[in-house]
Amino acid sequence: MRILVVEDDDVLRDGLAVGLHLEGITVDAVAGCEDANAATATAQYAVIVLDIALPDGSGIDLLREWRRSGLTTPVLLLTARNLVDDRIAGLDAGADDYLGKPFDLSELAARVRALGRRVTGNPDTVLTLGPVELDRSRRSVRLNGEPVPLSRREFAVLCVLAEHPGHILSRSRIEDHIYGWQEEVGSNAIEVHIHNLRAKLGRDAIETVRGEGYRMAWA
Amino acid sequence: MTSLRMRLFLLIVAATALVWSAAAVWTTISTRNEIEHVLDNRLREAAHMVASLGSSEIRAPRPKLLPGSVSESYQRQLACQIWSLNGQLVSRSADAPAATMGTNRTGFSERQINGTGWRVYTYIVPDTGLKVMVGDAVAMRERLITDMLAGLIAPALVGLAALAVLLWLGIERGLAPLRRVAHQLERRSAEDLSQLDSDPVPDELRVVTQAINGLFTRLEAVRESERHFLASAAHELQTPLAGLKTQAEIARRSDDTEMRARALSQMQRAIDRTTRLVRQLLDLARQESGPDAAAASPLSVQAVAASVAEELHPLLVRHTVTLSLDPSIAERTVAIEEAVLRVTLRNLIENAVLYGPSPGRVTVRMDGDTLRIEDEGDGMTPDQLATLRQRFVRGSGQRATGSGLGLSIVDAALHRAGLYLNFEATEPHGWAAVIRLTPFDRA
Repeated sequence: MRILVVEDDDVLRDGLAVGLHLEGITVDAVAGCEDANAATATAQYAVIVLDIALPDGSGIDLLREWRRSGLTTPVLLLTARNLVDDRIAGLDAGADDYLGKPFDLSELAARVRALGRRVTGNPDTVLTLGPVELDRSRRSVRLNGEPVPLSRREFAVLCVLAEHPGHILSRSRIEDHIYGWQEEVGSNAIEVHIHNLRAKLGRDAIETVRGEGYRMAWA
Repeated sequence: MTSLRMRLFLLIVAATALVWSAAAVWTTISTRNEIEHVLDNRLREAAHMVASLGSSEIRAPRPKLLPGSVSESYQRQLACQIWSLNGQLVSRSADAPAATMGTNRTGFSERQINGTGWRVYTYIVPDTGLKVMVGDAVAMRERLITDMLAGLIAPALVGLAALAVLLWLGIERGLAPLRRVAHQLERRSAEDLSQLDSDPVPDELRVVTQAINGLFTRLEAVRESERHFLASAAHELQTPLAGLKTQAEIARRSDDTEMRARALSQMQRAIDRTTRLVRQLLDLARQESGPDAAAASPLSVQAVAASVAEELHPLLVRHTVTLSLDPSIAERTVAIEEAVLRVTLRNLIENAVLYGPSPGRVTVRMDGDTLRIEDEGDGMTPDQLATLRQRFVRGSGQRATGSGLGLSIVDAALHRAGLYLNFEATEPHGWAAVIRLTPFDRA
């Protein structure tokens, strides 16, 4: 899951990037409205975490602008002025959720995941595809009831495929979901993750569609 | 006296009673004189009338001198005696005493006979030498006067009582607008700063309601700015706290030594910044609430600048900025409170370091009476400057994250000292904060 964080305080921005990364979320972080616009124009995010007070404008205005231009990505507002009016203004401007500062990192991660699930159309945290059971909030996977240890990246790749059952996802689309900007992506990184997933879940778990991409075997 | 109504009432009633009493005394005196005069005339006329009847008919008894229509108490008012030349009582009316009532000369006299006071007119008839004496009892005259005055004063007293009742009710009605305003004020909560009803109020009260409404407006503005200040302060404090909390959580969770060390150094930065922010908030509160900053003694610019430079040393090193104290500030003393100059210098130098180029140079110099803090930055447009002077507004596109309080603090501090901060571009490039100070010897 790849999200965008818009926060001008660099310590908090860094904390969000690192902390959410620990929670298995890929984070692109920017400091202002201008950079946020550039980011949403070039990449597809599962969720956007948006601070209200930004140096070059108000997060609420930015959000309103996004909604007007048709951006439907779920947005979680970070509000410091914990006033009801601010929350109402935020929600009315098109926010899907809000969190007051200072917040708990795990709570933020849980809310971000919940928003992400809502977009995929399946609010159940547990996805079941054939013998594979994937718990998105605990980030655990079971095969025929037995826990299977997966690395963070492997889990992320499996998640993307499982959230789009029956769809063929190209390698670059999967990369988009898994890696942030700053991360070096090896040319065959996705192949390696798919290879490892097949070794752990069975050869037939993920199909390769030649020239197009990958697809979950079970829908 | 706490009740305005009672006060007004007593004042008016007292004034009315005083005027009426004076009028009553006046009436009493003039009525008495008038009645005495009338009664005396009557005595004289009666005496002449009796004399004109002639001595032969004087024997006619009991002359009825007053008509029957007069009430019982005034019957037989007059008494009459006729004396012969040789001192014989020729005749007298029934009420007249036997002893002589009058004197031996024509004219008025008063005399006590058997305990009764008489006022008598004696008339000596020139032809016959008969003495006609007509008198009336003094007590009778007094009663007439008293009755007459009672008739005048009793209605006045009743009138005064009625007037008092009417005054009491009238004052109540007259003070109704005042009570309405008082009631409105009494009823509202301490939080309610809305305007008083613009109902037509009397002119005298309009000044008061306008003053109160003006006060409410100003209070509301102050409260609004406080609310904004608090909300902004909360925001500015909560953001670094959120950063701290997040980094602390990372440090706690991560097994990776490098990641943990990085989180700790981020926490260190957040703490530094929060510390500066709290200090600035305290500075601002102190500068805004402090009394006018009068200069107690000559203050050395050099000494304060050097002490601020020392304080800011770590910041200067971090940003590789050189702070130079120009020789022009040496030996200069100014008339300004130390805290004001210190807060001003610290914030302006800090701003110059944070928002000027790095590496760079910041210079503090005196040009005549003008203190200048110069940097090598690009400066600001007038619009930017105007917004920057508001609290919590940061320069846009700044890489450094400040609280946006610096200029507000400097403005507040200088305002206390009656000074003003200006900015101007410097040659060949750069930007200067300029303050015109008062030298101590001319203060």
